[in-house]
Amino acid sequence: MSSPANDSQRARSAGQRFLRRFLQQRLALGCLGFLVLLTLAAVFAPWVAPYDPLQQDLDRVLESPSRDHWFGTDELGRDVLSRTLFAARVSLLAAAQAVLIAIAIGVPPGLVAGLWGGRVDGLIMRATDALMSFPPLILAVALIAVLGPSLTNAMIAIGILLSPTFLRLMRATTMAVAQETYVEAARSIGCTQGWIIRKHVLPNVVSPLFVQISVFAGVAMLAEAGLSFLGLGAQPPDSSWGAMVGRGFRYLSLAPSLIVFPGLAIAITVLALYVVGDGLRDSLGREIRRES
Amino acid sequence: MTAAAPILSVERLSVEFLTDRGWATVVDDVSFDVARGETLGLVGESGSGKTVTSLAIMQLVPMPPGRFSGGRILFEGTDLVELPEKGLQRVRGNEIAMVFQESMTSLNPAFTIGDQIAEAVRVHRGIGRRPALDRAVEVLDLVGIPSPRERVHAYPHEFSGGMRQRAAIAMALACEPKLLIADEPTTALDVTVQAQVLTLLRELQQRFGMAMLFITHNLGVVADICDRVAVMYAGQIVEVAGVDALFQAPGHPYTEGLLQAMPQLGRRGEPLAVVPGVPPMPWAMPAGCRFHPRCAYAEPACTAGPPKLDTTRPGQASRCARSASITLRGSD
Amino acid sequence: MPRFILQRLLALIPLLLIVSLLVFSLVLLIPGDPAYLLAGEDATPEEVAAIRTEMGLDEPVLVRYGKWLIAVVQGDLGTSLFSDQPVLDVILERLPVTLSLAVAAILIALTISIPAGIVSGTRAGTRIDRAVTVGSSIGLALPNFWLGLMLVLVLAIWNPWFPATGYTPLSESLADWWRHILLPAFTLGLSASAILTRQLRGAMIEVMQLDYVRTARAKGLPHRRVVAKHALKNAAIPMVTILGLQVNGLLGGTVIVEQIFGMPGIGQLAVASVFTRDLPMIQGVVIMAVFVAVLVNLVVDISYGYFNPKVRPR
Ligand SMILES: Nc1ncnc2c1ncn2[C@@H]1O[C@H](COP(=O)(O)OP(=O)(O)OP(=O)(O)O)[C@@H](O)[C@H]1O
Ligand code: SF4
Ligand SMILES: [Mg+2]
Repeated sequence: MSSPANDSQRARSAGQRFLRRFLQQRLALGCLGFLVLLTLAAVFAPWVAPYDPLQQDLDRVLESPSRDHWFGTDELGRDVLSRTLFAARVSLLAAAQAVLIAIAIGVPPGLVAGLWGGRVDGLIMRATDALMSFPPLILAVALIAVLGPSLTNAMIAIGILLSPTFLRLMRATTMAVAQETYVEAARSIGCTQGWIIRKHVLPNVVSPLFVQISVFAGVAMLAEAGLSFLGLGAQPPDSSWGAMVGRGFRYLSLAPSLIVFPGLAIAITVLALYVVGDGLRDSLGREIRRES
Repeated sequence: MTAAAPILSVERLSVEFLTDRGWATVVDDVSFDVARGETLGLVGESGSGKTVTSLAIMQLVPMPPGRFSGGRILFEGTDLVELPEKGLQRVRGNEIAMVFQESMTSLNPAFTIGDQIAEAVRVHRGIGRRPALDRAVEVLDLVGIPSPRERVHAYPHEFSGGMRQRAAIAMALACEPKLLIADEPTTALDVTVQAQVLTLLRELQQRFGMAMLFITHNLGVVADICDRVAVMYAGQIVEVAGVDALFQAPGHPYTEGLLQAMPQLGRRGEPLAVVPGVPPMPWAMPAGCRFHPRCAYAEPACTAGPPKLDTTRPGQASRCARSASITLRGSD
Repeated sequence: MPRFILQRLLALIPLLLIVSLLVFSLVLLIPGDPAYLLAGEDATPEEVAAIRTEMGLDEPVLVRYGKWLIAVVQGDLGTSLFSDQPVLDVILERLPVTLSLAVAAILIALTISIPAGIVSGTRAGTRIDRAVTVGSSIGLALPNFWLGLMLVLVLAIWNPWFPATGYTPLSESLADWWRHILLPAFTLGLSASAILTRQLRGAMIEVMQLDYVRTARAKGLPHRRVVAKHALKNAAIPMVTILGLQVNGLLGGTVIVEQIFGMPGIGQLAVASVFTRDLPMIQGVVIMAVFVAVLVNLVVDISYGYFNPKVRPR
């Protein structure tokens, strides 16, 4: 039987191995680099963007890409490149928001279900199953219908929809850890649940959690884009990539560039998130993968 | 000894696998013949390359990670290594059939036993579904499955281990092959069933005049069923002999070790761990005689160079540098 | 078999109860007094009171839930606040559109993923396998509304090969139905086909290494038959599970796809009802969607028996 101290050491070095393996994956690292650059570009959009995203020029509306306007102009003559850069802020922030909400909703009951088991676990899992039996976007639309259309409400809806996976992940990890002899031993000598969670559950769950976060950031971004496209997410004057496509819809045949560029931005960003997620998953050692 | 022309002759066969440490030769320069109607036993510890040798004969070595690095496999004069896939498909299951080591997993769980037997017959004989199914009933009856007419519609999970192995044998026999390769067909079974299956194989072999390559750990079984024996160690054949000669006067110290470690007849064959020491890993073969780290007769001369497989007596060959100067004990 | 189905149906009851509770609770989530909200901004106090009575908002929550549930079970989903029509009638009128869209999307997803998964799974590591893997990653990352718009742009506007919008019922004309449904169904089915391809590829790689596949080859069966019969039927088992999971996603996706292609289905109805604040209609759509999803999953469950004789009921 390993002592508790030994074990947290083991967990830490497992984390280091995870990191080392990830650093060897070139494609995933490249995508991570792209995401970092994109985030920087979004944060520093006021300095990076060639124009003010709200500055209209009614003499030059719905233009195709040109040297002045790399991504063309919209129906009010605003620069699409600048608008895409500013919309990145909204899209990235929204995805982060949704994932955080999903974690906040999913992780605590997952821990409880895993640690307590029994009837509480049964009840929580039943509710989770019920939640997962809803077609996701339809439920999101319904939630927005009662809460009112706004980006925050859309993100709450998406967070709720994504939460069951986090719940299951936490529950599975916690259960696996709770059955280990050293945890039983720790419990029998009176260690508190909080201590067990901090020392044993969390170190084990961090790496698989990162995988899930990365993939779900992509899913959330797609969902946000879809809802904003429908007009149920980001509301003017805010604009996300999805909202840009939604407005561009009307000018589909006149100025395709209005939707081509924000759409590509979504696709590439989501692809990068997925590739990073795949890379993280491949970096999980056998020992962790089995538990997740 | 059998004087007839061999139905199968394996000549200088070598197979390699790609491992973490590069290409490892797991079957090294293996040669042997099987005569028509003869049963050749292939004996050796776990990992000595018996299954890979038989897969090579069937041309079923997984590639990757495996590859051929030399040799010919002549079946009735045709080199199977050179034969294109279409020709191989005509040979497999029809002329040469194989019963695999893993009886629990070698049947497809998604199809009935009858379907799996009948499909081989349909492919090779070009007959319809009904007559093929009748043939399946026939062979199931032959291998002693009770009420085969009903059982032909059962799924593998509805059969016990022994019944599954019988079904696998039935499947191999369905097209009346000229050569049957049986890879430890009894290891997974309990003692009584083991004896039944052996008796069955012997009967069938005599009845159809089929040649057989019988792979096993268990020398007791060899005495029971084989005409000649080839002993494998670390990917090489170390001794070939008629079964009586081998038991009375083994020509290789490894064979002697196997004979000493032989389990009682009829008892379940255990891995032959009783020869002291462990076999070498394919990527770390000892220089000279591969057996020398475990050999009681080893001398400095044994590490000088790899010994050749030399004829010691008519019909008996041994790969031992000292075979002329040592006398080995047979079984009593 | 019928007993098996009955058992499954009974097992669904607790699930459906929780679902109904969740759907009912939507009303409780409305910030402030729902009656004001539902009546609209410039409603008179009398109108608000009327709504309150009509929706039974004065009664205790549990009583309201009970009454609502009993009505729902009897097929009474309430009345649309927008058009005054019975919710069920409106939904049933539009359901065939959504269902045929979803079914067509599944067919397209299978048509793409089965060959792609087989080819890449049996040739793992080759160039064609890498192409399929990259293709499926892209298929997963493409936003479906964007893909739909691009298809409309290229295949309906620039090259007028397909109608950009609209829907023709199957009962009227098979050819027209197909022409109208192809682009939306492809748009809806692409991400599912990417997921199914990945799944099938992985399962094929695994199954092709199993002993019984080797046995099948040892029998002298042609490669095609080994793959198409022995490997595929087993590799299909996890694929069926994933397909069941995808159905929910597909039904959700109709919300967007119907909007783009102007199809009068329940997805479009849901979005429209958000803007008209037609809560009973939304609740009806959600209930119907869950109902369909649960039914489809039941069918998926039953079809397991075909692929996996071990779980076949006797
Ligand atoms: N698919 C494979 N990939 C890599 N190495 C393999 C593969 N199949 C066999 N080997 C290696 O080839 C060697 C010979 O294996 P083989 O299965 O022929 O032994 P065996 O004599 O049949 O043993 P057993 O009595 O346990 O069945 C072993 O070292 C094994 O590790
Ligand atoms: S060559 Fe030497 S080591 Fe090898 S078997 Fe003969 S006596 Fe033993
Ligand atoms: Mg073997």
